[in-house]
Amino acid sequence: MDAQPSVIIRTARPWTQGRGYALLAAVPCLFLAVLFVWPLLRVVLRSVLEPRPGIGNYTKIMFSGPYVAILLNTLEVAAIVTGVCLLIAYPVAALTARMNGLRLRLMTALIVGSLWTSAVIRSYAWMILFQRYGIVNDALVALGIADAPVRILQTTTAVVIGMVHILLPFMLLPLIASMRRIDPNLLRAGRILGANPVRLFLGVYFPLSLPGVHAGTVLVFISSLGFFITPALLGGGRMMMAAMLIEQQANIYLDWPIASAVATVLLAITLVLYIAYGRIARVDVTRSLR
Amino acid sequence: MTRGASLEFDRVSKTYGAVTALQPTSMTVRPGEFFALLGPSGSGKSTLLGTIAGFVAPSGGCVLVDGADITAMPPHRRNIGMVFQNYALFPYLTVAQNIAFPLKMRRLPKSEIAARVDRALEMVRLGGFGPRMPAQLSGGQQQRVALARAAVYDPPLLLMDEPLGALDKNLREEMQEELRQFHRNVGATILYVTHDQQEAASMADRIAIMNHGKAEQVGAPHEVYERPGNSFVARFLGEANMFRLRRGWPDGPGRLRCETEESLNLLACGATSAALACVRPEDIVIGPAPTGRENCFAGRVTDLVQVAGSVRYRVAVAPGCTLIVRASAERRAVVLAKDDAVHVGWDAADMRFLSE
Ligand SMILES: Nc1ncnc2c1ncn2[C@@H]1O[C@H](COP(=O)(O)OP(=O)(O)OP(=O)(O)O)[C@@H](O)[C@H]1O
Ligand SMILES: [Mg+2]
Repeated sequence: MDAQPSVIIRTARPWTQGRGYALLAAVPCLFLAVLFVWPLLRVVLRSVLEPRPGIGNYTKIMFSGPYVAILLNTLEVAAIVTGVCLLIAYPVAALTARMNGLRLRLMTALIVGSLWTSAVIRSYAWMILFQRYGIVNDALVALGIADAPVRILQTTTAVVIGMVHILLPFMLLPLIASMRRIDPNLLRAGRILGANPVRLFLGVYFPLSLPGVHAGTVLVFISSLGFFITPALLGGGRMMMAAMLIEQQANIYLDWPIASAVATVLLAITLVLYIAYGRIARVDVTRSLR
Repeated sequence: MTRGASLEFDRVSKTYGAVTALQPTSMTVRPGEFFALLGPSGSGKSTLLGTIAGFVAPSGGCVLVDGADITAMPPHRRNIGMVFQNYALFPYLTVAQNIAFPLKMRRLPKSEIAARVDRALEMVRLGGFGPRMPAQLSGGQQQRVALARAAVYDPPLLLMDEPLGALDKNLREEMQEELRQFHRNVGATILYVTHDQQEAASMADRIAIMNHGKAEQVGAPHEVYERPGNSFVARFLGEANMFRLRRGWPDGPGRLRCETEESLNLLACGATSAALACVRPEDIVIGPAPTGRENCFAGRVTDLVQVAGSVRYRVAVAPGCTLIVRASAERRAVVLAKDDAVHVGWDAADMRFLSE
């Protein structure tokens, strides 16, 4: 009988799938660290080190100038945009999720395809529609809704419409994904257990679509917070959002420390909201994207 | 205890475009009966069940519960209970909330809902599990929650679509016993879909054998087993040695002598023009000496398999004709081995005639 070795000396770590993936992830991690994390860190550092070390930039933001009002306005616009997106996208997604084959592919192509047109071009298009003697005003006057052309540009309404137009796919896609994953047997179970169509929606369909709602809401809200082009073109001058403020501080007043501080505050607000939301909704928002 | 509802299919059929999922089917299920639909995959069992639940709109015919036509009624007003194969518990609700769901839909007062949920949990031996989430339960436990949820509003008719399909064998047998007990307790009519003939035979009062969207035969399990109407039923319920008959002639009072395609001479009871005859493996005796039965053949063991409590032999008796013989363990006085020369035999009364 062959003697079995009683001691196994391990010369190398065993290969595991996890290790293989870790190697694969190293390059993108390095890329992110150099090109993303490092610049971000510099922004944060600059906000507390320049023009002199301390929290001077932050007290200035808090207690003087239009900064707080603009940040609040940004949050408000982001919330409105998110709500409007959800209201429009939910029924569209629910219908799309029930499609199959050619129709589904067509619908997905439409949604994804809209991402191919640049936000700048689409915002300019809205500018033309919204201007004083543009199509929208002509229509309003012709229909007798307004007596004379009204101001649409430079209002929250114009900015919200423009942003919803651009951000809608980011609400639609996670919604459709999570609605398509709803087990039809759960809906059948709800019906046979006595739920009429309205209660079936409220008691079964909607709760099952929540992962998509959460993911879409977070995506759209956070994207809205940093939106620049659309508010700049459609709100320009009268309607200010955080990203425009940062750009103005950096490029016009050349006040990089204040720009950095505002950017840091925006980043902090985003992170806090994201974490708080994750806690409240108790979902992993990346889950519905898987 | 609920009074079970009667159920009647009147020429119910379903087609999807060119696919016929269900041929016109007429069948009656008696009040309080445990009725099983048994058939291979794609035979239309779920479709038939769906017409009762209201998930499948029949292409023709109607479904009657206690004599009332429910074909046009939406599912939520049918007051039927249903258990699904993957349980279909709402993952975002606790066990107690799941069971309370149908009671809430019926707008029962809060206190009664709580009392009924507790009773239902006790009934399926899950007292204290109310606050858990379904994902925190084992498969068998989830199955029992699904059962409690389907029964908590005392529906007179319960549909079950392969409720034990996802469980392992031991648990399945345990749950079968529990379901029988459950049926005795609640008194509802149960329509039970399965493709496991053992399960159907051990649980149901009557079974319907489905094939190609059609109910081939309906009857008590032992009846269907002993008197299969056609070759599909004979093969699907247990094993059968099948003979294709070439011709037959009377041979004594009530006796028919037949010649099979393999030129075997068989003696059977009765008179028939059927094309097929069969004999069950356990009706055949096997031994080293001639068996003295009315049908007796010499042959050779080509294969044998020991299964729990019995031995399953393959015996070649003629070119192109191998019989399956099942001998119970205590009858195995003489141990037979592969390639042994043996004799097999069976009585004329054990022969059954079948249509195609
Ligand atoms: N929505 C549908 N569209 C087209 N064909 C369908 C549809 N539903 C069922 N069928 C077809 O109808 C036939 C019967 O299906 P059914 O689900 O009733 O079978 P089953 O007996 O329940 O099978 P299983 O044991 O696999 O569950 C199958 O051939 C199936 O392909
Ligand atoms: Mg099925």
